[in-house]
Amino acid sequence: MTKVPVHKLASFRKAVSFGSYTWRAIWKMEPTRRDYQLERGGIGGEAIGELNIQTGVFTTYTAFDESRDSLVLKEARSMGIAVVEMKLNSSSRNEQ
Amino acid sequence: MTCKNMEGGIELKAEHLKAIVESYDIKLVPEFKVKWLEKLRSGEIEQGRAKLRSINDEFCCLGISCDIVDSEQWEEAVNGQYYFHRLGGGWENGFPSPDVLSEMFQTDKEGWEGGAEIVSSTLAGLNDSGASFERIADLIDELL
Repeated sequence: MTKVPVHKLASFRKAVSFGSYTWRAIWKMEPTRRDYQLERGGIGGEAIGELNIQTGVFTTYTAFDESRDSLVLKEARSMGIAVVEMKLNSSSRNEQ
Repeated sequence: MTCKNMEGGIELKAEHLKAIVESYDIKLVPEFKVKWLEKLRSGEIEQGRAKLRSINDEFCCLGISCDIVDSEQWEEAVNGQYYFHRLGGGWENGFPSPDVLSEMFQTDKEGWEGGAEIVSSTLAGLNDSGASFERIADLIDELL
């Protein structure tokens, strides 16, 4: 596992808000992996799940919900990212 | 784990689309459906992913629906990478506006908006997962 220098971590962090949701960039201690966490409200709000922008897989923190999943796909598309799959992993949030 | 609209491959998503359509009892406006199927099966439109319409005129299946509803509403994004569809005054680049959805789907049943959003996002998921326009057209023809 490669540790990321603090200055790189700081420069990578950013957030993009759409309506009442925010995509926040998160780092997974892997230099080539960039994920976005979707949070309800501003930064630090309730975390919904995370999107791997390289694979298009969205990992949800909570049970599937058709309306929420539809919103995730729409919000990801607004960033130009195609969600190709959603997986449930309620423990993934603890890995950050 | 139960099958969900964005879980698994194309055929699993197709199965879930069927379940969603039955659950919401939602249908397309017949005249719109004819036009949409014609465009999807024409073989004349380049298929794109993640955006309604790219700057290279690649459309996703929902971008085609926006174009059918009003082809005069496209506006190029300042980054020069894609178009916005502006029917209703919004800036939609990944998903049709409520104004477009109301032209696509029959609106006589209560709660049609929720069904239209979920059906459309499932179609977007199919498109972005690699389902061809022909496959998407067959599903729309059969289910909607």
